[in-house]
Amino acid sequence: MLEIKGLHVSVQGSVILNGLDLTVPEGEVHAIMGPNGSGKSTLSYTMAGREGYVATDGQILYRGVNLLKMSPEDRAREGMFMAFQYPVEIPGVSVLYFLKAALNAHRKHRGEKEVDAIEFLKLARSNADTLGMDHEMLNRQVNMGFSGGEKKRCEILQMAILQPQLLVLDETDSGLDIDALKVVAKGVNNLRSENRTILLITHYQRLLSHVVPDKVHVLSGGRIVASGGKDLALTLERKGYAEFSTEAA
Amino acid sequence: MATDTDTLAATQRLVDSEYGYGFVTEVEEDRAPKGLNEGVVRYISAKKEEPQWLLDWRLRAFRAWEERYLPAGDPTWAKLRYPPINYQDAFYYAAPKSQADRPRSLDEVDPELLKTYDKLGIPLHEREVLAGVAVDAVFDSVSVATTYKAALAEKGIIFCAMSEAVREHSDLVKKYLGTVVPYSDNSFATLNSAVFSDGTFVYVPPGVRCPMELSTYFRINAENTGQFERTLVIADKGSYVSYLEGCTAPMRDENQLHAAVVELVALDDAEIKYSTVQNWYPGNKHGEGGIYNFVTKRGACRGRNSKISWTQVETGSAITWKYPSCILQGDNSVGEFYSVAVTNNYQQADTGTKMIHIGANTRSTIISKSISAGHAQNTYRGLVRIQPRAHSARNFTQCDGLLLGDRCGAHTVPYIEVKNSGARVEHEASTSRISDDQLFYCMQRGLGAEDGVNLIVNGFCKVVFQSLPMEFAVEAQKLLEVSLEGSIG
Amino acid sequence: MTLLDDYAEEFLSVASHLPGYERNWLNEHRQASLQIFLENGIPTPQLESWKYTNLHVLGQRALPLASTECLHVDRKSLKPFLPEGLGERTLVFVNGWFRCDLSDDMDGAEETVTSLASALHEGQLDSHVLLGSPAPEPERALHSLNSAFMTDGAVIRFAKGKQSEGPYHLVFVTAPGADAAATHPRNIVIAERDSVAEIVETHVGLDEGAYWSNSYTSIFLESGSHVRHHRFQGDSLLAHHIGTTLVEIGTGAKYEGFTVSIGGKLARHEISAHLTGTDAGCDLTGIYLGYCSQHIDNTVQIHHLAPHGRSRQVYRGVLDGEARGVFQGKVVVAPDAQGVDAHQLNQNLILSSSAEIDTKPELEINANDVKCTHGATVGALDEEALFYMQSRGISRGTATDMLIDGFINELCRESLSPVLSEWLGSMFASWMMKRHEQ
Repeated sequence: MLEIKGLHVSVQGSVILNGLDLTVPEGEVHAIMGPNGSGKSTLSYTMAGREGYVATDGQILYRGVNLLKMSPEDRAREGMFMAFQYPVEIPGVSVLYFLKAALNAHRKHRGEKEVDAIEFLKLARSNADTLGMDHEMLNRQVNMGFSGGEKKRCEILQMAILQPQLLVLDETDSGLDIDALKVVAKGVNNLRSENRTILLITHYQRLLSHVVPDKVHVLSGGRIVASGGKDLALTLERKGYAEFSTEAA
Repeated sequence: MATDTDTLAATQRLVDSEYGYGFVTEVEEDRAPKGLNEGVVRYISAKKEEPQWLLDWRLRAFRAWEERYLPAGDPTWAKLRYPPINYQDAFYYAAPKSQADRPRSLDEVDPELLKTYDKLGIPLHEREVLAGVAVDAVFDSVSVATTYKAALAEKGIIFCAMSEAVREHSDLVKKYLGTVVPYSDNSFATLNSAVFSDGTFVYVPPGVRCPMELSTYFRINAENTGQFERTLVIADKGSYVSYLEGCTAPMRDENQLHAAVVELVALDDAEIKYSTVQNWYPGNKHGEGGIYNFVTKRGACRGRNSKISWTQVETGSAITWKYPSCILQGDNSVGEFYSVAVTNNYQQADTGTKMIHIGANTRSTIISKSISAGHAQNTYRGLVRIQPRAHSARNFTQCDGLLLGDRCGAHTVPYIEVKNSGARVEHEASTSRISDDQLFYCMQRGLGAEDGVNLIVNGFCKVVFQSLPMEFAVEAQKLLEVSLEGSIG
Repeated sequence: MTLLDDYAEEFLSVASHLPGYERNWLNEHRQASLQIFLENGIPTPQLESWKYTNLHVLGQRALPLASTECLHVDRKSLKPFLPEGLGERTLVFVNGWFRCDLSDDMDGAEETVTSLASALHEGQLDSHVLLGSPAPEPERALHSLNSAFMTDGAVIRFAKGKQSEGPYHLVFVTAPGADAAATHPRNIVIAERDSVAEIVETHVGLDEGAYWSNSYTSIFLESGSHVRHHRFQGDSLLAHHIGTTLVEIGTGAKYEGFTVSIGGKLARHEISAHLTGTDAGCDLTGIYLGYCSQHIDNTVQIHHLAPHGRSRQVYRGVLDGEARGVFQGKVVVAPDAQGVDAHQLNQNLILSSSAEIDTKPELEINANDVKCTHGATVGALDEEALFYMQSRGISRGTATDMLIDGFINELCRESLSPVLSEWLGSMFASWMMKRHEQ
C-alpha cells in the first residue's frame, strides 16, 4: 500500500505541493490528473527522490516505510519504478549494460545471486520480443538518438525486466502516436497484479482508456481536490479542469 | 578659462619645482610638442586644470609605460602585422580645432566620404558635423542634446564629458577611474591613462532606469575627444543604462593611432548595455593608410545579479585590437558579448572578449561573427576563465567565420580555463565560405550576386544585430553592405 | 654551472657512445641539434604553445642519459603491457636501448625492421633526410635535444603495396632505478605507396621513478598508404614524459592516430601532422585521464597544405583530484588548400573541485572553400543521467563509474580492434580503482 500524508514540497524556494494526501491500496491502479503546473511532475520526482525537490512536511509511506528518508537507488531497489516523461540520454552506456547493472543491483539488494551476461542477454531479448522491439536496440546507447516512441518502449522494457512493485508513470503517454501508446498500455497492463501498486500521472484521458484505473484523483494547486471512479476522467475530458481549480482556490 | 600662456607658466613652475630639467621645449599655442615625455603629461593635465590626484595618476601611468612597455614594444601575440609605431613622432595633445581651420562647407570635404554618407542615408546637417565642417549657428542636434540633458538631470543621471566630470564630480571619478582597467593594464591602456584627452562620463543613481539610449553622438563631436578617449560608465544599485558609442558614418580623423579605454561598473542588480559601431577609416584598397585602433574595454559586474552586455559592429580601421570583457565578480552576474567584425581589402582585426567568472552562478554568452573578404585577416580571440569559487558558472560560446574571398584569412583562438567542477562551458566554432547553394537560390529568385551575398551575410549576423538598439541595427546592416562593397569578384 | 652547460658537458661525455658516432654527417646533425637546444633552452610558458605547461622541474638540472647497466627486466615483468592476441611482433626498448632478448624475432617479417642504433651504426640511414633537419623554433627545443641524444628506437619500412599482417608493438620501458635520468627514444616509420600498416607504441615505467622520457616518432605516409598508430603512455606518476609524433601524409594517404595518456607527473604528447598531398586524411582520437596532481597535456597541430584534405580530432579527458588537463588543438589551412574538411572536438569531465582543464581549440584558415569546425566542452557528469540511473537502482558511485567508462570506452570501441580495446579497457579499469583509492 502507498500512503502519502500531508506532503509539502518546495522547489527552489517556491511551494509546489501543499498538503497532498493520497492512498493507493495494493493491487490497484490510480490515475492522477491535473492541469499544467498543478504539481504532477513534482509529485513523481519527489517520490523518486530527485535532488532539489524538498519535502518540507509530510510522508510518503510505501509498505509502511517512509521513502523520503531513502536515496533514489534504495527506493528503486525497494521496488519503486518511475517511468520518466523525458527519459534521459546516457552517452557511451549500452541499454544492455545499463539494465544488467540495474538488475544486479536489485538482486544484490535482495540477497540474490547476480545474473551473468549470457543469462541476462536471454532475459533482455525475450522481453524485447514481447514488446516487439528490435534486438539491435539493446546494443544502442541508452536513449541516445531514440525517437519519442522508442524512448517510451525502452522505459517499458526496463519495467518488464526490473519487475517493480510500485510504478509511477509520469506523463508516459505524452507525445506518443496510437501504436506506441498501445505498447505502453500493454506493458503496464501486463504488470497489473494484486501485489503491485500503479500510479498513472497524466494530463489527458487518452491513456486511461487503455489502462483502466480503479480510481481517478484530480491534482490542483498542489493538493488532491477531487477523487472518483474511472468516469471522473471522462468528465474532466469534457469539462476541463476549470471548476476544480476554483475549488482549490 | 586660463590662457595657454598661463597654463604653460604653471606647468613650468611645477616642472621646475620637482625637477630641474625637462619641459623646456617651445610650445605652439594650442598643442603640446611632438613626442611623449613627462612634461607633456603635465602639460595636458595642467591645460585641463586637473586636480593633483589625477596628475599623479597620469604620471604613474606614464612611468609604467616608459619603464615597462616602451622598452618591450607593443604586444606581439595578436595576429596583426604593422610596422612599429614611433610614439615620439606624434602629438599627444591638441586643443579643439578652431572654426577657422575646418572645411567651410561640404564642398571642401573628400567626395569619397560624401559618397559613403549618401549610401548610408545620413541627413545633411549630420554629415556636416561628422565631416567636421565649421558650423556657426546652434544647429538642431545641440538643442536636442540640451533637451536630453535636462531630462537626464531630472533623474539625477550624470552624462557629460570626462573633463567636465573631473571638475564637477571629482569624487565619483576618483572612486572609479582605473578600477576596472588599471593604469598599467597593457601598453595601450597605460598610454591612454597617461595622456587621455577626453571622453564620456556616465553615472546612473540607484534604482534609476535611464529613460533613453545615451549616445556619444548626441554629445556632439565638437568636443573632439581625440585619439585617446576615456569613458567611464557607472550603474549604481538597481539601475539600468544603455549606451551607444560611435556612429555608422565614417569619421574624418587625422590621427592614425587610437588607444581608447572604456570602463564599466555595474553594482548590485544593475545593468549596462554598451553598443558600439566602429567605422573609422579602413585605409584604401591597397592597404595604405587607415586607423590603428587599439582599444581596451572592460566591464566589472561588481554587484550581485548585475549584468553587462557588449555589442559591437566593427567594420572600420586598418587594424582593430579590441577585447571588450566582463569581470563577473558578483554572484549571479551575467556577461554578454555579441560581435560582428567585418574586414575587407587589407584590414586586420584581432578581436574577441574575456569572460572572467569569479562569483558563483555567473553566466556568460559569447556570439561572434566574423566576415573576411579581399586580403583581410580576421581573428577571434577569446578567454573564458572559471575561477575556483565560481560554482555552477555557465558559458556558451559560438564563433562563426565567413570567408568571401580566397586570399583572406579567418582565425579562431579561444582560451578556455576551468577551475571549478560544477561549471559548464560549451564552445562551438565554424569557418566556411558562403554557401553556393544559398547564393544560387537567391540568384534564381532574381537577386544579383552582390545583393544575394548581402542578404546571406545579414542573415549570418542577424543574431548580433538583434541585440543592437533598433535604429542602430538598421544602420549597421547598411554599413555592412557598404563595407563589403567590391568584395564579390 | 648552468643547466645548459651541464647538457653540453653531458653530450661531450656520452657522444662517443651514441650510435653512429663514426659517421660525420650524423655527428654534425647531433651537434647542430644540440646547439639549437642550447640557444633556446627548456621551453617556458612565455612561448604560446607552452602557455599551460611549465617545465620548470626539467629546468632545474640537466638529466643524464639513463644507465644501461644492471637492468633487471624480464619478459614477465612486461606482461601487463603486452596484450595477448596482438601477435608476435613486439620490440622492447629498455632505458632507450633495444633489447633483443626481450623482443620477438623479426627475421621472417615482410617489412624491413631494424633498431635505430644498428641502422645508424650500419649506415642504413645514410643522411638526415629521415631524421629531419634540426628545428630552430624555441617551441621545439626538446625535439632538438632528442636529435642530439637519440639512442635507439625502431626503424620500420612497410613495403610498397603490402598489407602488414598485424601490428608492430614498440614497447619503451624505463627500468627501476632510473631516477633523475633521461631517455631519448627515436622511431622512424615509413609506409611506402599503397601499404597498410599498424603500430602500437607503448611507454611505461616499471617502478615509480622520477625519470624523464623524451621520445620522438616520425611517420611518413607515401601516397595511398594507410597507417594506424596507437600510442599508450602509462609512465610512472613521478616521471616527466614529453612525446612527439611527427606525421607526413602524402596524396590519398590516411593516418589514424589513437593516443592514450594516463601516466606521468607531467606528460605532454604533441602531434604535428602535415597533409602534404591532396585527398590526404588524418583522424586523431585521444583519451587522457588524470588524478592526484598529474599534469597531462595534449597538443595537436594539423597543417592542411594541399587541397581536399580531411581531418578529424576527438579528444576526451577526465580530470580528478588535483589533476590538470591541457588540450591545445590547432588546425591550419594553407592558402590554396581548398576543399578542406576539418573537425575538432575536445570534451572534458571534471570530477573534483580541485581539478582544472585548460583547452584551446584553434583554427587558422587561409583558404575560403573549407568546412572547418571545432567545439569544446567542460563540465561535470550529467546530473540528469546520474539520477536516471539511480532511479533504476544503480548506486551513485557505480553510476558515476559507468558514465566515465561510457565517456572513454565509446572512443575505443569505435576506433580499436577488440584486442586493443579490451587491453585499454583493463588499463582504464585499474585507473578507476586507483582513483577510488585516492
